Amino acid sequence: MKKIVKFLIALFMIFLLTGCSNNTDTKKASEVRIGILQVPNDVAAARQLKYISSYFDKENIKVKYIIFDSGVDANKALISGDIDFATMGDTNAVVALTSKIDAKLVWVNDVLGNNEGLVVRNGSGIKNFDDLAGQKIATPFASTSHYSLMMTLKKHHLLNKVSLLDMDTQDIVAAWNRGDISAAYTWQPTLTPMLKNGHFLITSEDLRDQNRITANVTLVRGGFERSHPKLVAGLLKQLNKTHAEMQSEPEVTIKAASKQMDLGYSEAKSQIGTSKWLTAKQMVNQRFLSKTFPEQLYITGKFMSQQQTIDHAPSKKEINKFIADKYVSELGDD
Amino acid sequence: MNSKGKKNYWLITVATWLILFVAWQLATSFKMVPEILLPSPEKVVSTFVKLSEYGYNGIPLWQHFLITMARLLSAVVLAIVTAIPLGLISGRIKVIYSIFDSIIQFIRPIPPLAYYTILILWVGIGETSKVVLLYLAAFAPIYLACISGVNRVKDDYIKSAESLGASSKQVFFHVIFPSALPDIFTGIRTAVGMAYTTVVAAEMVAATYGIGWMIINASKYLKSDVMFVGIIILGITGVVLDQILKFIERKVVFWSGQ
Repeated sequence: MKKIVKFLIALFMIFLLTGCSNNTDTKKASEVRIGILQVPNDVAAARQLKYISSYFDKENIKVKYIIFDSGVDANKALISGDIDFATMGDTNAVVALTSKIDAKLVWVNDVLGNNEGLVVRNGSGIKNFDDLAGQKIATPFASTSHYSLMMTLKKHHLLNKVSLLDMDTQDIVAAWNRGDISAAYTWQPTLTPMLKNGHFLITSEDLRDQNRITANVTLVRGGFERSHPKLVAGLLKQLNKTHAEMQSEPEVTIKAASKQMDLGYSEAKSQIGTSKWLTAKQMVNQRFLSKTFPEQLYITGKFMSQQQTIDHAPSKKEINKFIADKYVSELGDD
Repeated sequence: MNSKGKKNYWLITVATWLILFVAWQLATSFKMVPEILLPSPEKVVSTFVKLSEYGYNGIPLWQHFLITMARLLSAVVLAIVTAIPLGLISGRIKVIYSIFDSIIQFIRPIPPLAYYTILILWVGIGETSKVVLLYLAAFAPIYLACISGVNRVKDDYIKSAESLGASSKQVFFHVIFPSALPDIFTGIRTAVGMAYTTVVAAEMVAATYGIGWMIINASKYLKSDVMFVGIIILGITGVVLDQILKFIERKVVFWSGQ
């Protein structure tokens, strides 16, 4: 009996020792792990144009990419320390913030436009928002799409009149093809096949015009950011390069992104749609990371906590601490 | 052994749980583990109270629980009414056995998640796909138990019954079925266990309620306290279900093991 107790205590101690998380990565980084979304974005372009690999080659660091369907799993990987960077929708960033994941928001990959939207099936009789009442609407929960959908439903007093289905993007296409659903708020590339027999009721571009901004952002794991700020700045510099090129010669950037994602040029172009790739300079000039975007995150957090999806709304102070805008400021001053 | 020995073992079990609980309490109150990985016992209890009071996602906790149980129960009942006759007949008639056995042996070891996406394409995202998934998990254990139950019936019993003039129908219902019953019950218990382990997977796609769904949804918002509540509910329910089945087994097949 005593032996068993001793054994259990020993087991417990081992558990505690291994459970303790270190606050900073001490050893020199030999590999950088980047969580990516499967979309033709700045990371895809910078990857294809070898901006990322040539930078990290110089530093003698290997780069590993890990694909995530949405920020949900990227967040889990950030907690377990399996990735250093992760691109995700800003709603997942709010989840990361309120659940106190050790991570910082350092970059805005793209401000969403018509690459996310609410599609309804042609001939389903849904002509305006009121027709949505009683319908099944699918969306990946916790995503920017989910948030945009909820905002739209709330605006039209439909929150309790529709049934929402939580599905991954591929499942949405399958359910759409089977005819199980006639409406879904989702993002590219899943929108393309659905738009063949469907049309937009509203897009995130419309919401952007109504000052409800959603965006894809990049988070960096806290331990990594504290010990390798130089590498964070270095990676962002490469991404910023694609943002600048997207504005000066978009064909080159879109072509690179399309190649990386195995897409045709026009396909990639329509998937990027009207999303905006702000350069660091523009972010600084528009006070985007220091004012506009924190305000949007605040609104998002408040809305999500009202919907009880997160247990408290993050305060403005928490948000400002979460956004490390020094990297963008440095880049924008160059 | 004597009753004193038995008592000691029981104490060890209780002590193990106590130590686990104290370890949990200590690890969280000294903040050795981040709360997101391991919420404190108080937090889990208060979350449970909150969930019971306000529900999760606008649906009361007991409704989440009931729908999960309803899915499980309908799948198991469906498996019982189909697998028992098929298993018993397969055990008796070689032709039937040859038709079905290899198919069932083929499906049995496949992890349910492997074919779940196909099930969704076939029967849709509604309740059917969820119940069918659980049904498939529950079917094989009952079927196999029935076959082995029938095979284990002593030939003497059947021969004596036949020599006393029993028809094959009477032999089946009065000799074979009761003799196989203990095996059938073991099969049902295994089946409930198998279906139960699949319950979270079944609620992964396009569900809007259920305890399994609640756990998955909470994981999307990294609410580890809600996940813990769900997991503990599933754990306790699993033990209770098995005890209920054991109790019924003792009542129905009281002669088993004698």
